[in-house]
Amino acid sequence: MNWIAFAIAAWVACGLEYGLKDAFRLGQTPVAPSFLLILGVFVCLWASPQALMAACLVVGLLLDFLYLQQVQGTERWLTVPGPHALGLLLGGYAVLNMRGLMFRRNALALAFLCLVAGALMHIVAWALLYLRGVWGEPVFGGVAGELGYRLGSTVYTAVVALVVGLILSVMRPIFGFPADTKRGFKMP
Amino acid sequence: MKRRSPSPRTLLAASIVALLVISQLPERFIGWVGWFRSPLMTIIAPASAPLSRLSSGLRPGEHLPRPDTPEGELERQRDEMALHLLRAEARILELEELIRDIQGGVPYQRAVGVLRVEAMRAGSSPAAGTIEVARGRTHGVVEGSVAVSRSGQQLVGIVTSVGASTSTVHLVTDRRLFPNLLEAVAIPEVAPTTAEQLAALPRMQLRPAGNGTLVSQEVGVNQAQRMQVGQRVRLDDNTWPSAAAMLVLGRITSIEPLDDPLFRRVIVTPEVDPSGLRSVILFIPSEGGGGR
Repeated sequence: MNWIAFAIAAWVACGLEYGLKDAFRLGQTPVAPSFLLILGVFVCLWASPQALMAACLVVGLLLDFLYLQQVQGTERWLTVPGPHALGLLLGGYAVLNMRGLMFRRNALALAFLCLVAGALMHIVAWALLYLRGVWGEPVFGGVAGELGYRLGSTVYTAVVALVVGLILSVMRPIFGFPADTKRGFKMP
Repeated sequence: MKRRSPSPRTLLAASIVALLVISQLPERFIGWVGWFRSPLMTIIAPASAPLSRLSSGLRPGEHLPRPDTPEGELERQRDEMALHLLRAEARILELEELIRDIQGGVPYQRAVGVLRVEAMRAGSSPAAGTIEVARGRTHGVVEGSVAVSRSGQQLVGIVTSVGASTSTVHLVTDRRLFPNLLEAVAIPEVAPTTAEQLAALPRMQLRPAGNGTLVSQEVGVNQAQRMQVGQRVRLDDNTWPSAAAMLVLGRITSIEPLDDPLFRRVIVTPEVDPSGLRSVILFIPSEGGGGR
C-alpha cells in the first residue's frame, strides 16, 4: 500500500470529518457521518491484512485525538487514546473476514461494511468509555442515548459511503493496493 | 549476534494491550497525551478550516448586516452602547458590593482587562457540543476566554481547551456546559438608565435544553409577568468570567404555564445559532484568570 497516498487521504478525511460535520448533522442532534470511518473501511476492503491493521490503528487514533471527552459535571476535557482505535481494529478484522464474500467494487459493499465496522467500532468505544467511567471519570451521562447517537451516526455514515465510495473507487489505483499492483496470469 | 526484530503480530498485540491500558488509566496518568492533539490540530486546520466555512455557509448561524448599510452600522453602534451602559450599571452594583466587602475586611482585587481577537471556525464536534477556532496559545488565548458572535453580542461559549494554534469552545447551548445554570436578566426595550433599575429587572436561571434553546423551568409568576416574548435576555452571572457580563443569551420566545400556577416556563432562543458561526470574537482576559 502507498502510505503517502494514505496519509494525504487521511488528512483530507480529517478535514471533511471536522469541517463538514456540522453541515451534515441531522437537525439539532449530534448524528453525523464519519468520513474517517469510510476511509478506514475502504482501506480494509483492499489492503493486505498487515497494512489493514496498521491503517485501522492510525484512523482510530485520529478519531480518538480529534474528539475530546468531557469529564461529566466538570469543564475538564480529556484526550483518551484507545477506544476508537481498538474498536476500528475489531471492525477492520470483521471486514477482512467478510470481504471475500463481497463484490468489493460495488459501492453497496462499502456501505454495508461501513455499517458493520462502524457498529463494532462504536460499541467497543462506548463500552471502553463506559468502563472507564465505572472506576474513573465518567465521560458521558446518558448511557443509552450515547449508544443510540453512535449507532445512528453509523447508519448515516453507511448512506454517505454510497456516494463517497464512488469517488474512492476512482482514486483506488493511487493507493497501490495489492489487488491493483499484482500482475494477472498470462498465457505465453 | 543478529538481533531479531519483533514480528508484526507481536507489535499488534503490544499495541492492543498498550491502548487498552491507556484507555482505562485515570486522568492524572493520561494528561500528557493531550499534548499530541495540539500539533495534530495544527496539521488538520488548513484542511478543516475552509470546509468549516463552507459548512457555516450551508447552515448559516447568523445573517450579518452589510457593513455599507447605514442601518446595519447604526444597529451595531446601538448594541455596543447598550452593552457599555448595562456593563457600567452592573459595575456600579458590583462596586457597591465591593465597598461593603472592603469595609468588612475583604482584600481588594484589581479588575482584569479584556483583549479582543477574531477567530475563524476551524471545525466542530456536534456530539461534544464544541467548535474549534483557529486561534490558540500563540495568539494569547487562555482557558476561560469568552467567545462572542461578530454581530449582536451573542454569547457563543467559553474556551475550555487551548492548543498551540487552535482552541476548543464549549457552546453555551450544550447541555453538558458546566455549571449549566446561567443567571440571566430580561432587558426591556428601553434599557435601564440607573443601577437601581437594573437591579430591579426580572431574573431567571437558564439551562441549555439540548435543542439549541435555553430554558428556565421555574420562574416565579411575579417575575414572569414582568417579562415579554421578544425581550432580550443577557447574562448576569458571577460564576462566568467578567468579560461575559451582560452579553446576549437570546430572546424570550415563549412563556408557558406549568401545572403549578405559581411558576412559568420561559424559553430563550439565541439570536444566532452558536454552532453555525463562520467566526467569533474571543474576549481574552489580559492578565491572569477570567474569574470563573
